[in-house]
Amino acid sequence: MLSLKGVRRSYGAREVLALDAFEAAAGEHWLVLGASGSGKTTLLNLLAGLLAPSAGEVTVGEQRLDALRGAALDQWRGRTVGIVPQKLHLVPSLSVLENLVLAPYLAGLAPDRDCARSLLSGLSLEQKTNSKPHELSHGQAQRVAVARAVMNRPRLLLADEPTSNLDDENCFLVLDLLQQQSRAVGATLIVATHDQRARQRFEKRLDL
Amino acid sequence: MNLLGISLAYLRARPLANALNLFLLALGIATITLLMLATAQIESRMLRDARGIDLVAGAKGSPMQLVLSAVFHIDVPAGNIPLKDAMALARNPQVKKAIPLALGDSYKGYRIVGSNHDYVAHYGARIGEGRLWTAPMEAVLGAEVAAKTKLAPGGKFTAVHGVGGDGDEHDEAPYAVVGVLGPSGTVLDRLVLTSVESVWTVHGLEKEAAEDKEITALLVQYASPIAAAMLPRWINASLVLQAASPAYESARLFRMLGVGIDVMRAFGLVLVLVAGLSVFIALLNALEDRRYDLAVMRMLGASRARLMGLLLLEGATLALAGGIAGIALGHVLTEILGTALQAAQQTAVTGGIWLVQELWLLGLALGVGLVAALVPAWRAYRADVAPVLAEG
Repeated sequence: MLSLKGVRRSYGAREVLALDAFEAAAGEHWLVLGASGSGKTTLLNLLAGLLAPSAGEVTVGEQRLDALRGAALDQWRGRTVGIVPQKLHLVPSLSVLENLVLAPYLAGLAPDRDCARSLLSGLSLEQKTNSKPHELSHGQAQRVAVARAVMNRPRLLLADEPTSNLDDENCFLVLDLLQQQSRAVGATLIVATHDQRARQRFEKRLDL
Repeated sequence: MNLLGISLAYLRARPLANALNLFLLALGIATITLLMLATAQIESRMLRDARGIDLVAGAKGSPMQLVLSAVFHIDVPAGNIPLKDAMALARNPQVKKAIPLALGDSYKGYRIVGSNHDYVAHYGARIGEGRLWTAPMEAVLGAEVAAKTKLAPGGKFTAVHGVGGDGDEHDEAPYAVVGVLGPSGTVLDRLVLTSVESVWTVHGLEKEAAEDKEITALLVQYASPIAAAMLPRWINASLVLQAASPAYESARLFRMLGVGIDVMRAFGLVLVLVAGLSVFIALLNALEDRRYDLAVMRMLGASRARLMGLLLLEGATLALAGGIAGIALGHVLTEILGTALQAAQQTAVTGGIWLVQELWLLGLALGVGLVAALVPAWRAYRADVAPVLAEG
């Protein structure tokens, strides 16, 4: 479903990621484990087309990412890749529901409010539909961010350090949530973390 | 959900700063609107009042005072002229139409003008109620005078010397109202009309010999273009008369007022530009807080152009709202000014009319908003997403 071949990414003279080969099949759940600075975030950015590799090729689905440019790349990302960034980054001036609807709208898909509502109730967030992000607890905000990432039924779901600063119980809740949501939409899941606790939940692992 | 909805959500998220910007912009636009409305109305009003009057003959003095007093009725006359000199001028073959005016009294601040029926016909006014005067001491009221004084045909009033309203009353000779003119949109609306003889009667001059009688001014229409070259010189050569051109004097008046109007207009423009600068600074500051939001929107599939459009739309929305509020405010202020002027029985100005030029003002506001948003929009366009998403 996705493959990286001979991928290098450097900032100036400093090489932050070197990955000769990596492949994941559709629906697989992968853990990318590495210390901070090992290039985990860079790998996720390459897969999302937010960064271009300095060398090598990235393919997601049947799409070679270097064939896409500008607005076409942005739209491809919006429709194909769901991302849960480490800092969540919900849009503070929009309500929870609007934050979810923003995803299909910006990806050029029909903004489906019913789908957003049913996602929220599936995550026990129906009480927070019209709340602003600052009114949410961290756990609630994280669930909203996951819901936003799966709004467009992406083929690839990326999560960056989803368990940082969480106690054990919440750590596993979040990982379960990510796996359950990616199964629900049939997405390949890639979780990047330095958190050793996550090992227990993943069979496939890439060490950086 | 659309770009406009997102823009509005962002504008609402910073209510104080954006309300201040809106207010600044509205104030500038309102100032310009007020000036546009007032000058357009006063100009067209003066043009209408002076139409068909090529020349005013009156007592020697300031030609502008003569025009202001005899044509627009907003100044006191400098003095009177002998009737026989006026008659001589009226008989001149180069004069097509000559309308005598006898001024001096007023009723509740509205000027009483002694003239003949030509004066009514000249402005194309029609009698609305009753009839025109036929005998001395009969008076016909302008539409506004009738509405404000509640006088109607059959009523009586006494004139007051001067225009101020606190002069001596001529209570030994009351006027009888015989008619009310329909509204004509001209100076007649604010006048009380009667015969020249009435004015003489009130001042005890009706028994004087014809050569000792006086009137205040003569409104003259030329018989041919040649008269424009010859008649003023002929009049000014006389010992008692002077000629004044309403067109020239009102143009001169507007040139003098024009400096003040230009200064006010520049002031309005400065306000608009300051508002633009303020919008620029606000958007640029907000951009710092919004780097993450914009990066997330890119992450969710928005193109660079779309983010640029979002910021431009915000600037444009704010500017358009400010422009519309400013034009509305300008109309309200004009209406207030007009009411104040009307209380002083000056030329009526209303906020109830709309000018095509106001669309240019909206365009100006929109342009200022777009220019103010241009640099922030460009920064949003250029911003790199990945490093912003990683920090926080």
